[in-house]
Amino acid sequence: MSSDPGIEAKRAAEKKRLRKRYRAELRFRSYGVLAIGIAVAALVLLLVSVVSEAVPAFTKYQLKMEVTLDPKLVDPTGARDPAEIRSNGAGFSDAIRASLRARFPEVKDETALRRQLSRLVSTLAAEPLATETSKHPERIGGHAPAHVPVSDVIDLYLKGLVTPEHVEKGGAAATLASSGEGVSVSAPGGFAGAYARIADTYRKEAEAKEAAARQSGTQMAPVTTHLDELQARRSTLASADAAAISAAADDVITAGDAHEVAIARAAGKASAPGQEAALASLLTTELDFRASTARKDSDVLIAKGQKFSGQSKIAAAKGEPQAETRRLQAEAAFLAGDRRGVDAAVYDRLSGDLKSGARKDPVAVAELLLGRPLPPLGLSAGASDTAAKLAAMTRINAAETSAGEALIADQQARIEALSATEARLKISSPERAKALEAGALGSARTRLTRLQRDLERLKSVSARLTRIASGAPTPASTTPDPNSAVAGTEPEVDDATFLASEGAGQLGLDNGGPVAMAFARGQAEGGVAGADAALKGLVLGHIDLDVASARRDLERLARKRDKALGEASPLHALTAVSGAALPLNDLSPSVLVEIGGGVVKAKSITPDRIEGEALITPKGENAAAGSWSVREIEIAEADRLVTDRQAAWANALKASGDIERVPNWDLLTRADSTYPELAGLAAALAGSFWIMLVTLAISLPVGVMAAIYLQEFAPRNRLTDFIEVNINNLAAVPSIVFGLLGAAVFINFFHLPRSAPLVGGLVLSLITLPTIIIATRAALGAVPPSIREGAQAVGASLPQTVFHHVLPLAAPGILTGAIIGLARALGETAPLLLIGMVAFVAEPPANMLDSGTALPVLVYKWSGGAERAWQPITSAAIIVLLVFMFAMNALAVWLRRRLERRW
Amino acid sequence: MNRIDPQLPEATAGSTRAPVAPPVVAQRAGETKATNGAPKIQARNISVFYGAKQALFDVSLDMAGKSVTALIGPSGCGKSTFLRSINRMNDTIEGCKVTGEIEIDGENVNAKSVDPVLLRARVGMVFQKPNPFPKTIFDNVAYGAKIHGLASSKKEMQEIVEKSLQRAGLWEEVKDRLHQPGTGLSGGQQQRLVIARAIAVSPEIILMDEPCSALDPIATARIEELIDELRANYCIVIVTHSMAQAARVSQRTAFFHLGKIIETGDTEMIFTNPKDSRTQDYITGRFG
Repeated sequence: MSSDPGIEAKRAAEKKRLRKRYRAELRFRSYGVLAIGIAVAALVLLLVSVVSEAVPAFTKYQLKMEVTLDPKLVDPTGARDPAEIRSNGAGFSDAIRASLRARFPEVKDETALRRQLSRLVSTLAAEPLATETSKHPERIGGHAPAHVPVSDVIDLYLKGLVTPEHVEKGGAAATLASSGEGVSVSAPGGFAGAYARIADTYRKEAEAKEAAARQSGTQMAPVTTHLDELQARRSTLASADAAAISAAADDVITAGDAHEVAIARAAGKASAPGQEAALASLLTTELDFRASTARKDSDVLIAKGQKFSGQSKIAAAKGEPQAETRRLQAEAAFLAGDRRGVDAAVYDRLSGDLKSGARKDPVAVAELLLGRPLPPLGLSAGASDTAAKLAAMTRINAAETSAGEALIADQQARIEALSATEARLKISSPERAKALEAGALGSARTRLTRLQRDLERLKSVSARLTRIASGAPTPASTTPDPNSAVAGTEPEVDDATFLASEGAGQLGLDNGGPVAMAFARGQAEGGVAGADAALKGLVLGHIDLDVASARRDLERLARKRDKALGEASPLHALTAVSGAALPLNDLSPSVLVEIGGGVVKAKSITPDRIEGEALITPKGENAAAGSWSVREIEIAEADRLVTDRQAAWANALKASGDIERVPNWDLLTRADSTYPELAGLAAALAGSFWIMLVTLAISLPVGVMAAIYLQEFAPRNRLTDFIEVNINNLAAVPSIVFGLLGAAVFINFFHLPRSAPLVGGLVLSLITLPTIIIATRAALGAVPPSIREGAQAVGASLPQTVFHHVLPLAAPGILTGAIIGLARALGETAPLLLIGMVAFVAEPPANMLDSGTALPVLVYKWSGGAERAWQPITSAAIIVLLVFMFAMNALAVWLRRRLERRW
Repeated sequence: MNRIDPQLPEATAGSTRAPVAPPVVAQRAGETKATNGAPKIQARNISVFYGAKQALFDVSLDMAGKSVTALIGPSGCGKSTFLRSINRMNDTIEGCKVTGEIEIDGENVNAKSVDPVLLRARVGMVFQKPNPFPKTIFDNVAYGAKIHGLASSKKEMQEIVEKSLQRAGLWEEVKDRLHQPGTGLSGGQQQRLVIARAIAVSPEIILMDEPCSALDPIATARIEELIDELRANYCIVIVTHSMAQAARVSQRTAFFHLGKIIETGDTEMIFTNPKDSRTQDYITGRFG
C-alpha cells in the first residue's frame, strides 16, 4: 500500500497539515498561558506591594511605665469625681511626662529637652490612663501602670523606617573619662568601623564638592573663550576705519535696536543737504505705520464699544436696572475714546505735517518716536576751541529748545484729548475715569512735567550760553540750574567748568549712553566725522556691555567653584591623615555610644576614641569588651524628625524592656484619629457593616423580585424591552453619579442625616440593584426548560413552577451575583464621598443614622495623610478591605458549590 | 445491528429503528379494538401557528380512551405540536397560536373557562428526555399530588407514591432509596419515574413525546411493556419515530406529513395495508 505514490503524497500532505495544526494549537496555548501569567503577576505584585507596605503597621511600640499619679496634677480639685478625672487628659499627660523626666534626670528643666522627651510618646497618650484611673480613683496618689503608645516618628524610627543604622558591639574594653563639660570613651580599635564609614562619607562628600567645582570650571571655559573673542574684537574695532565699523554695526547692534538705529542714522544725516527729505520720508513711513496700527486697534475697540452701546440701548428698552445700562454706556464711551484713537490722530497729524513741510524739525519727531531726547554729543569733552564749542552748543540748544516746545505742544494735545474722555467717563463710569486718570492721563501728565522741566533747563542753559558768548561776567544771582537746585549740592560753577560739564557730562559720547541718539546727534553736530565717532562709540559700547556681562558670568562661576573647593578642602584635610579625629555635627551621621547604661553622643571620633556629650549619663568608668556598643545613625540629625537624644532614650527604653513591640490591635479596635499611631479602623468597619446591612436588605429582595418578574412573568413587549435596556444602562452608570443622586434625593429632599450609613446603604443599593437583577436573570435563564415543562406537565402553575423548581436551581447563581454586587459596593468610594461619609469619625456608629465612614473612604482619607506613619496603616487598611472582599468572594464560590445541583 | 441477545425477545423488535425492513406487527394477547364508545379526545380542525409560520393545517383526529394512539411521521411534521396542543403546553411557547377545537370528554380544552393548570393535571405528559426534578424520588412523585392537594395525610401521600411507582414498574427498584435524588437513576428508570410522576396526579390521559428515543433497547422494552399495562386505565397518545414501536404498542395510528394527517386508522391496517402511497413509502422507509 505504501508503495502507491498517490497514497504517499496524501500521507505527506496530512503530516504537513498536522504539523501546522499542532503549531497553531501550541501558539494558542502559549497566548493563554501568557495572559494568565500577566493576570497572576499583576495580582501577586499588588498583594506583595500592599502587604510589604502594611507589615510595619501590624505591630506597634508601646511604652510600659509606672506613672506616679500626683494628685496635684491628675485631680487638682481633689473631688475624686470620675467624670472630671476622665476629662482631665492634660493633667495625666503632665503626670506621664513627669514620670519620663524621672526616668531621664539629665533633662533637668531645659525647655527644649523637656519638649523632646515628651514627644517620645503619643500626644493623646494619657487618654487610656485617665479612663482607667477614673474607674479606680483610689489609685491617685500612688502609682499606676500605664501602656502608652510611642509617638509616630519614634515608632517609625524603632521599626527602622526613618534612617539606616549600624550597631556594632564594642570589640575592646572601653574606658570612660569626663573631660570638663564633655565625656570621652577610649577603646583601642573600638570605633574603627564607624570611623571608617564616617571617613568614607566625608571623602565622598568632598569628592562631590570637587565634582561640582569641576563642573563650574567646565562651564567657565566657553565663557572665557567668548570673553576673549569679545575683547579681541573690541581692540580690532577700536582701531578700525569708519567703513569697517559701519559694517560691524549691523552685526553688533542687535535686531531690536536696528529699527531705532535706522531712524537715528537718518536723523543724524538730516543736517546734511538733501538728507532731511530722506529722514522725513522714513519718519512718515514710520508714523503712518504706527498710525494705522493704532487706528486698527482703535477700530476694534470702537466696534466693541458700539456693541456695548447697542446692548445698552436694548437694556434700556427692556427696562433693565439702570445701573447695568449705565455700565454698558460707560463701557461704550470709554472704548470709543480710547487713547489708541488719540495716538492714531497724533501720528496722523505729525505725518501730514512732515509731508506738507509744515514741520521743519524732523529731529524732534524722531525724538518723539524714539521716546527719548537726542543728546548733543558732537562735542568732544576735551575740545579746546571754546568759541566753536560755544557756537555748537548754542545751536544744539536752540534746536533742542524748539524740539522740546513741539513735544510739549503734542503732549498737551494728548492730555486734552484724554481729559475730554475722562470728563465723559466721570458721568457714566467713575471707575473707568479713575483708571484713566491713574493710567494714561497720569503718565501723560508726568511726561509733560518732565518735558517742561527739560525745556526749563534748556532755556537756562541757553541763557547762560548767551551770557558767556556776550562776555558778561557771572552774576551773583544767576538763576540756578534746575538740576543742581533739585540736588541742592552743586555750587555755581565758573564758565569753563560749565562748558566742559555741559559738553561732555550732559550726554557724553564716551559714556555709552543712549547710543543711537548719540550717533544721530553726532551727525547733526559734527558732520560725517562726528557720526563715525559716534557710531564707533555705539559699537564699542555694545561690545563693552557684552564684555561686562561675560565678566559677571565668569565671576559668578568662579565664586561657585571657589566655594565648592573651599568646602571640599577641609573635608579632604580631615580624611587625608588616616586615624585623625573627625568632627561630627548635625549635618554628618551621628555616632551614639551605648555604654554603662548611658549614651554618649560623639562630637569627634578616631578609631580608638570618641569625645562628646553624655545624652544619658553612663555609670562606671570601665566597660568590658562586648558590654557596650556603637550605634551609627546614617541620616544626619538635621535631616530627620527624631533627634539623637530621642533616639538614645527610645533605644534605652527598648533595651530595658520598657518599650515593647506589641500587636497593633488598636488598628482594629480604635476609631479614626488625627494621630497615625492611634488611628484605627473600628468606626469604618462598623460603618461598612451597617452600609452592607442596608444594601443587602434593600437590593437583594428588590433585585431578585424585579428579576423574577421580568424574566418569568412579564409579557414581552416594548415596555419590558425598554426596562431591560435601561437596567443594563444603569449597571454602566459611573458610581459617582449615584453619589450625586444620593446627595440630592436622600439628603437634600428627604433630609436624612449626612454621613449616615443608612444613606450610604441606600446609595449603594442603587448601585448594586442592576448587578443583582442582571445576575438573577442570567441564573433564571440558565435553568433548563425541561424542568419548567416537567413541572407544568404535572399541573404546576407558573408561580409554582418558578418558586418550587426554577428559583431553587437558580439560587446559587443569584447568591453569587448578589455577593459579587455587594463586594463591589463594599469597595465603592466615590459615591460615599459625595454624601459626606469622608468626615472624621472618632466613634464607631452605633446605628445606621449615626455619623459613620466606610473602609474604602478611610483608605482614601488616610492615603492623603502628611505624616510618613500614615503610609503603613493605609496599606494595612487596604489589606483589611481586601480580606473582606476575598472572604465575600470565597463565600460566593462556596455557596455556589454547596447549592449547585445537577439536573 | 439487528442481532440482539435472544434472551430478550421483546427487545428484538424494539431495536428495529431504521425503517429499512418492513415493520413486524406484534400481535399481543388481550388486544382489543379501541372502539368502546365515544372517543376520549376529539380534535377538530386544529391549526397551530408559530408566529407567522403555520405548523399544523386543519388536523382532525379522534383518540379513544383506554387505548394507545400512535402519532408517526417524519421529523418536523407536527406530531409533537399536535400532542402539545392537547394539554395546552403550547401556551407556554411565546408567539404560538392554536385554532380549532380539542374536546376531552366533550369539553373544549381551548375554551376560556378551562384552566390550563387543571387541564394538565388531567392530561399528564412524558417528554423525550427524562426530566425528573432535582429532588428525591419520593418528592418527584409526590410533587404533583402535593400541589393538587390529593393527599390529606403523610400516609396517603406515601400510598400515592407507592402506587404510582408500582404502576410505573419502578417500585421494586427504588423502594429502598426513595429519598435519594431522582437524577441519580438510569435513563430508563428516570423515564419511568417521570411516568410515575405523571400517574401520581391521577390523569385520564397520558401524552408521551418520543418517550424512548433517549433510551437503550432494554429500557425501551421496559417502557413499552409499561405502556401496554397502562393502557388498561388511561388514554395514551404517543409520538414515536420508531415504526416498530408504534406497531407494537398502539391500537390506532395517525400518519402526519407536512403538518397534515395523511392517514389514520387501526395500527394493523396502517402497517399492513396503508391506503395512501405516502404512508406506504414512509413505513417502508422510502422517505422520512
